[in-house]
Amino acid sequence: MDRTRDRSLYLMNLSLMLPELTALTVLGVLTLGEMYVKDFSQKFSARAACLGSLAVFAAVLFSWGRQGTAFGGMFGVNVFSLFFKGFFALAVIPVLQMSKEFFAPRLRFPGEFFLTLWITLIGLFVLSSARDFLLLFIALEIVTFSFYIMAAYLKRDLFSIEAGLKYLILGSLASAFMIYGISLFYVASGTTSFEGIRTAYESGQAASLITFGLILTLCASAFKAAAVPFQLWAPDVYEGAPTPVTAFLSTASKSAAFLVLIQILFGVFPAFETGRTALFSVLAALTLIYGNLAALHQTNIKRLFAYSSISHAGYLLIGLAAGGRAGLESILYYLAAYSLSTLTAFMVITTAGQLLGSDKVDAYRGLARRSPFLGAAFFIALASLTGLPPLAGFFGKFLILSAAVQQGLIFPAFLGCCAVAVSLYYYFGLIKKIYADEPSAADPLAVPAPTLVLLGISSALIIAAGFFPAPLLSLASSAAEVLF
Amino acid sequence: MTLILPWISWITALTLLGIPRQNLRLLKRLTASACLLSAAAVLFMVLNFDGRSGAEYQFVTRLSWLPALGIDYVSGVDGLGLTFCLLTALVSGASLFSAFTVSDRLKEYLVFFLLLSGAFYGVFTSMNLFFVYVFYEVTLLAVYPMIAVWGTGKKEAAAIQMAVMTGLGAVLALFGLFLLYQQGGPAVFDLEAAPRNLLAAETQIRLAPLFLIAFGLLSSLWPLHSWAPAAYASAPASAAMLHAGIKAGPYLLLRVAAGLLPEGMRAWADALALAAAVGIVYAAYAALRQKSLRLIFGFSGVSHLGYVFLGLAAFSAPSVSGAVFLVFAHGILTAALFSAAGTLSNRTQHDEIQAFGGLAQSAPFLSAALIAASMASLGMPGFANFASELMILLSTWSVYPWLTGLAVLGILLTSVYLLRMIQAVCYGKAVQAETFSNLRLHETLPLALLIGTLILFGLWPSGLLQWIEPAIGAFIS
Repeated sequence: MDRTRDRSLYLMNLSLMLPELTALTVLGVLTLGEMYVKDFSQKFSARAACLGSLAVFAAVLFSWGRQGTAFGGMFGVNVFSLFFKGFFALAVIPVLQMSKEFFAPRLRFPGEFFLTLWITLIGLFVLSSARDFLLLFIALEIVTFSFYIMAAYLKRDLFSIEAGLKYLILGSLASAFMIYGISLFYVASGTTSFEGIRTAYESGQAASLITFGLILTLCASAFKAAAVPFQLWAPDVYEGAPTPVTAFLSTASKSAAFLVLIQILFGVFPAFETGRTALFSVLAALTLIYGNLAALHQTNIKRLFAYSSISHAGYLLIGLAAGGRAGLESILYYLAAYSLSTLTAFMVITTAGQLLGSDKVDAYRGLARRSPFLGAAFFIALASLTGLPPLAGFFGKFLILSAAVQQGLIFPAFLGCCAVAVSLYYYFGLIKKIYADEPSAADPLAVPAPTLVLLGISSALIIAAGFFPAPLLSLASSAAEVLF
Repeated sequence: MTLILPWISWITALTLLGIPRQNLRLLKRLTASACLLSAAAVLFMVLNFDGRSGAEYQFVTRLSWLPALGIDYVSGVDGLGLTFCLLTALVSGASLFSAFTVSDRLKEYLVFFLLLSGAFYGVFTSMNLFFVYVFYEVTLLAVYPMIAVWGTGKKEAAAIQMAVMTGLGAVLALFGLFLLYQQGGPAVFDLEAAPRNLLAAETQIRLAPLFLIAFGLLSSLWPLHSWAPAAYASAPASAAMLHAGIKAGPYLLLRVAAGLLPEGMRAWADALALAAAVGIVYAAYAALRQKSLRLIFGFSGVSHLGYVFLGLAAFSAPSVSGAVFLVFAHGILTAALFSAAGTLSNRTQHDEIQAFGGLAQSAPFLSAALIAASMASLGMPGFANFASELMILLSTWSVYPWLTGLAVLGILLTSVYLLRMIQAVCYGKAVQAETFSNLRLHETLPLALLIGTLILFGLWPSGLLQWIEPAIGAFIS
């Protein structure tokens, strides 16, 4: 044990960073290609990035089961961090396809966007492995900064600029909370490492300072997760940002926020248990109520998904409040199921937005008539987001609510159940629009082939994860086990 | 055997997705053969079912599904499940004919049709509560688009109201399942073992109202019924036949509330009986005020379910057996009524009873079927409905004399609104006689099949009761 720790102090244990190094190599290839290859931006960059994410995923698979720390314990690898890395590497693939479809007609050099997206991915990877608050903060800032840029990427579009600016201002505030909290940790314990702060907190030294710091860092993470009362930015940013960015924001960024919350609550402050249950039960209840009620009467589909993503954060917060191994497992499963369904829905929204030229809910009238395939994929994604069996989303809700009841959180679980009935109204309202209403034009929509393939795969996965939840659940379970 | 029952329909539904939409003949053939195959499987079960041990689950298959949570996929039927499987086979077979009359996007309609009928089979053959819930939710997923897309009138409002109300009922039931799970672990979900290890009486009494409300929402118990008449009035005929005919709500109430929480049921029986009796009279009065044929049938359904709940509330072996028998009989009857109503509104493009007339002259068969079904509904001896309602009323009389009296008043109201309907539709001057000149086989055959079943079990009630009674005996004792 001592020897490995010593080695990790002096050597950098580079083999642990295989996925990050692969991602950096891909970044280099993308940059060089942008500089030296003719028409790289329009023709190859998306494809190269897509292959790159597959390579990174392969690297994650290759490192599976490996464990250890590097950089003096700042950087840790275990099944938990690899679970998130694999998840991010796969989630970026549909986002790349969406971005290609979205930006290729709008920009001369869409390749630069892919570079920004790729930097976000690297930030997410480092975030998954951070075992020190400073590294965590830096990684989080890399992610957030790229999101500021990506949200405002359509520089001639007022909504996009507004989205970027709003996210920048409020996001900086959250970052300030975070760094202030971290500085309080440092003052109280003389270190920024997870382990050091954990020891200090559990020994009871300067408990009030550390608790104050904890609250601040939790606020900052709740901001990223778009949990009430830190949700104000979400609807405007989701609406204004380019659609692929919204998709990435509502899946990867939200997952990153929960990753940080899990690290803080279970990796650093497991002793904060009673406070955690009370605090997050209240947050979860508020988030569920607000998200679902506000989603009822939205006319812009991206805004609708912003509120729906807030309500999904509510379920995840119930999982955090429940805690325990069952709670963590269920959060990981829910994140995967929710992201899969949301990405499927956003692939439809991106394609339909391109073809219909509008993000208004009314523009989706009769979509299934014009493209039965898009309609069917949207139907499956929406039913999964509602939480209807036998789809992936149902099982996520089942696990979270069952974990909550096991822990005696009867009221949040009850609220979560009722919220499903409310969400039926707006999700099924959308299904009604795409299936029952008459389309404004009758011509069939031509969906690009890669999108068709990806939509087919993701819809099949949604169904498969509902029918056979055991493999994904056992993955989530082995990832959650690490923290106990 | 029971394992494949839902999958016959579901795999066919998946196959339909791959068939070009222009190939109507193949789409219809595949759907029909899936229904026939399921019906054949049910027939096989009926013939090989050991009636003497009707309380035990038979044709059991056990698959390990999620060992981490202790949830297995177990399928099998006892006498109760078999009765409902038979109901599903009959109603889905009969509604198939009117499903084929859908002209817009038939392929998608048939996919949802198969999804729905397969899900009903799944509800009745699952022996694990988790899967009972899962299959039930799929019925919601399938029936919503059937009404919202292919319905008529205020279809969207009716469909969303139904989705939200039954969805709420379903998630409340899910919440109840969580509480059960918390109390008793995964063993609680096992329907076969459940009657042997019941929860403490106190816990049962605490949990029972939750399940009563949840399943009351699902099975349109007054005052939670408001979605049902509206949804069935707007639904296409085959969707209304399936969803109103195959009553999964009372089945769930019986299985979960009576099977797992018998003490809880006893404690809350008075409230249930009161709601049931008020519902009988209220819905019958509401039916009296309706002008649309299908709304009358919708309210009539709510009213008749009141007898079922009254039988359940009395909670004695004959009253509950009668209730199950009535669910079967009324399911068949409802399917027959909606089938007739579907034919009428398909041909005339309207639904107002005052605008019909003289059907006895223009379409004697349809008129005879409508009259026969109405007679069955208002309790004419010889039909299964009479036998079952008699069983219920005789056994509730000693427990709830006043409420049974109220229920008998409901029969009076029923005869008023049904006779008024028959008078308006079947007699008087023939309106639009030419529209009924050529009734096709697909319009008459389902009616003949369903009404024939009603008469069969009316004359031979023990045919069904031989399965129902032992199964109920295991619950009640």
